[in-house]
Amino acid sequence: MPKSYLQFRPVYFLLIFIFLSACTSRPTAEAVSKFSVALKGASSSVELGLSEIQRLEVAVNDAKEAEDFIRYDDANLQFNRNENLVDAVIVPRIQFFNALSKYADSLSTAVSDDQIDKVRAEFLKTGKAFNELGKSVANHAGISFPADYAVKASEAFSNLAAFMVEEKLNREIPKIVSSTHDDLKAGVEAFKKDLGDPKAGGFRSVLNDSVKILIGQKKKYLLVIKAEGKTSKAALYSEVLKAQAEVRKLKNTDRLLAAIPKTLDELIKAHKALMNPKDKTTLGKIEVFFDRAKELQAILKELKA
Amino acid sequence: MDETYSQARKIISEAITVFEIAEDTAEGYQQLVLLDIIEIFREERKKIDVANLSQSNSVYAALTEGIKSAKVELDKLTAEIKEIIKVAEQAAQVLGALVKVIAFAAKVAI
Repeated sequence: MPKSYLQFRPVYFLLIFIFLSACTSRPTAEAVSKFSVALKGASSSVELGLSEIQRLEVAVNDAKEAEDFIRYDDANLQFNRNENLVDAVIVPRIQFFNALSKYADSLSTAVSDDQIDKVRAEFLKTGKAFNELGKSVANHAGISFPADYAVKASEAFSNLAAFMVEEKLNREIPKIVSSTHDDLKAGVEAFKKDLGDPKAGGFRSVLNDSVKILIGQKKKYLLVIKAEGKTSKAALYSEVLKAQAEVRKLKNTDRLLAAIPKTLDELIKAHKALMNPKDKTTLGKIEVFFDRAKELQAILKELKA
Repeated sequence: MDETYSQARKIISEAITVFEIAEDTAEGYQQLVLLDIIEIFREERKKIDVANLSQSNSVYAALTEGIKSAKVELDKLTAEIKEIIKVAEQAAQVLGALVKVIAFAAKVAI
């Protein structure tokens, strides 16, 4: 073993210690990807469900205005007269899930393997150029040029740079994920509670009442046109079928809301996994780096000679 | 608020059930009136449900700020990593320059 390597051995051990400390808590790209997918799924489900409640609120208000117009001769058709009850409670929740979605995007970008690959690719490109040049020199001059070693040295540098990126991620990501987890969990738990039960308050109950109010509106509309006696039985039957189809569609929304807690649980689980992942791959990269470092020393020796 | 809310909700819900049972057997104008009453009660129940939900609006606002701060930290981290990549690219350029130096040295040696 070369003397210079032995001389710096304590430094290498110190580096290995730092590497090992860091790599025990690094979230893998796979774990981050899983979390991002779970978060996107949950966020879009929540947004869809909440938007549906907003849409129903508008539909209820429109139906009331239409009813006034049909039932009362002296009613003037006025738009946007009724208060929108739900916006005030829906907007802060949508903002929370939007922020979560963007947070997942940033996390995914930060941990992306592409960045590490980019560093590695840049060095390997130079290494290959080195190799080509070596062959060219060897062909023309008939001298021995250690081109293969040069490529390996380039790999060593690339691994070092890639390691620098990984080491930073190892240190920073768990800190950020840990600091966010409580907020994320609190928000998700609060929202699960907010969804509630159709019989005990919460968003599912609000949705249920809006659907039932609309059903009542349909019934009243049909009663009024039936009482007028101007509509044929066939037309009335067609109206009943249309109303029934619409109501069936509205009721499906509750299934969407009912499925959200399970998705949110998956989300929390995936995020928690980012705090305690097990990634042993970094150690392997360090070993490769030291092998290449030794070879680099050999190259330098040969070049000097 | 919670107990008052639950009590109010229970009373309204019971009233809705009673009027719905009556509406099932009613006809004509009577049914129309009962549907109006049920609608009023449902609107009232919605109002108190929404009011109860609005109590935690500020909690979400605070949590949203926390998540946004974490996003800022992550973006900073990405920027720092980009800086490392930039340094790596510069180092690669140095390697490239080294190739040229060696080529020159080889020519001289020849």
